[in-house]
Amino acid sequence: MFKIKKLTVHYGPLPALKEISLEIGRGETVALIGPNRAGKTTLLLTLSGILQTTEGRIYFEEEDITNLNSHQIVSKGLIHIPQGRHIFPTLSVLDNLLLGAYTKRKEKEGIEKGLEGVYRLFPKLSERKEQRAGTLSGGEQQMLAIGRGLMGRPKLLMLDEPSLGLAPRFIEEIFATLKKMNQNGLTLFIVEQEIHLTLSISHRGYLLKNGRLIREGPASALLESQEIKDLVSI
Amino acid sequence: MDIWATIPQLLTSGITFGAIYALVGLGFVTIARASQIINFAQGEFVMLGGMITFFLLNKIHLPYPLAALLAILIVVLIGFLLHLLVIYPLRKASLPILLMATLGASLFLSSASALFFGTLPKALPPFSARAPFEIGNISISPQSLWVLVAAFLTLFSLYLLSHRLLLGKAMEASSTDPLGADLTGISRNLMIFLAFGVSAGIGSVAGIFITPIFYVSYYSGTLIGLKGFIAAVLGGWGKHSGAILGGFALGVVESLSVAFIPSGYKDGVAFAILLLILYFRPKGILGSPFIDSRRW
Ligand SMILES: Nc1ncnc2c1ncn2[C@@H]1O[C@H](COP(=O)(O)OP(=O)(O)OP(=O)(O)O)[C@@H](O)[C@H]1O
Ligand SMILES: [Mg+2]
Repeated sequence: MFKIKKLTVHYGPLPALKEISLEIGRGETVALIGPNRAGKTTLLLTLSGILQTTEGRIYFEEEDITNLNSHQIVSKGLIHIPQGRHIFPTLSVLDNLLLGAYTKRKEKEGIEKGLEGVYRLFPKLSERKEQRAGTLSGGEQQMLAIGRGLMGRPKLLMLDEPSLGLAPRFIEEIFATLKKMNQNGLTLFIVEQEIHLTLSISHRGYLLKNGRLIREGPASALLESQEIKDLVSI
Repeated sequence: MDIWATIPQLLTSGITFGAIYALVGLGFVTIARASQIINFAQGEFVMLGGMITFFLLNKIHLPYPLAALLAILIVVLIGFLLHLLVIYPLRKASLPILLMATLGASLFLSSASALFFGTLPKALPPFSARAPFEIGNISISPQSLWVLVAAFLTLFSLYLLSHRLLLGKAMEASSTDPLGADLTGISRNLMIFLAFGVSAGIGSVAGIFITPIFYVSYYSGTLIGLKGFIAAVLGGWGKHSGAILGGFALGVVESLSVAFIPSGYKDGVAFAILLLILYFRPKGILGSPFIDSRRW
């Protein structure tokens, strides 16, 4: 359902991504693993229309979406939960969720259902819906960021380091939820440095280093690979 | 004369000034809630509101209410143009550059006003012709009451926009987390565009309501704009209630100062207050969620 062909992206004159090609099938969970500064965030920002490509094409459901702007991409159901969460701190939890459905704001019924679904996955958000989002704990903010993404009714959900800065207890909770979301039919693209946990819930994975994809394969095979072992040992 | 005897009258005029500053401050707040821009051309919207109404009333001979309404529409249009011609092309630029651009726009608008409407100060007739109310030895002009009404109606409408409508929340989101807003599909440029229109509308309303009390001239936007800015900072940046409280506090303190120091220093009081608040409590009296939560 999703395909990238030879994607190259520059920051000014400096290349950050070089000829990236990858594919995600409907219903899959795909992991993108890579060390710091590999270009993982750059890739997601490009896919969601924040950064411009230099070369290459991006296809979503057979449609060329290269260099569309971010709200066009969001309304197609390609949704990105950014590194660092980027929730709206001054607004309530509920308002954050409602804004997640901003591109579908006319569809009242869908929004009601979406809220129910998010509260079912994250009951804590329901308890705190009137609270200002900036006052939530880190783990709760990550749940809110995921909930807000779900409100946009994603066909493909891309997550940038959802485990970053969280206590192990929260990390496990979040990954368990991600697994459940995928079992309910949502396609996931997870960018992570929590290698084992991520690959344990993924079907396939890619390894990114210095802006290039250096390995790909089924999650189990990647776990055994020398490259991953090198990464873990650093 | 006993200075204490003048205090009630000074207090009343302070409240009128306060309402004016509050109204102008609300214009700053509107833009601040949708972006991190401080629009230094805000005072020009106020000046143009009064100026254009004067022109339509006295040169085109439109009825007063129609002239006022049309002036508001024209100023809203100018607000939109300011966004389209100055802010939007600079959307990738850093904040200081945007601030300078609004300063440039302010100079441009006041010079254009001098060219177009002339350099003589102008006044609008009061909305209602009746004599001032006398309560004891205090006199209150009906226009002061109109200004108060305008300030509270504006506050009320802005409150509805920001806290009841999804649009207002989307504007706030654009300001507090631009990337988050982009990734939820909020078009930030559209939000800022709308905020400039709304804010220009508020400015022009302020201009129309106060021009019967003060003269308006091509350069009067600068000072009134700065006072409105100080009101918004004093009360709590980005908060509607803050602009209202800051406006009244500033108006009253400024007015009362006349009892104790030469009136020529009155404007200095406002700047002294600005320096003190920035030094000791940059969040303002009511605190600003926009200042503690933002990565400046
Ligand atoms: N705005 C920017 N301007 C210039 N260079 C940038 C910018 N953002 C990132 N880079 C550079 O691009 C490279 C890739 O950065 P990116 O943030 O995509 O890495 P990452 O894999 O997400 O790393 P992390 O694990 O730390 O999040 C890095 O060398 C970084 O310094
Ligand atoms: Mg990153």
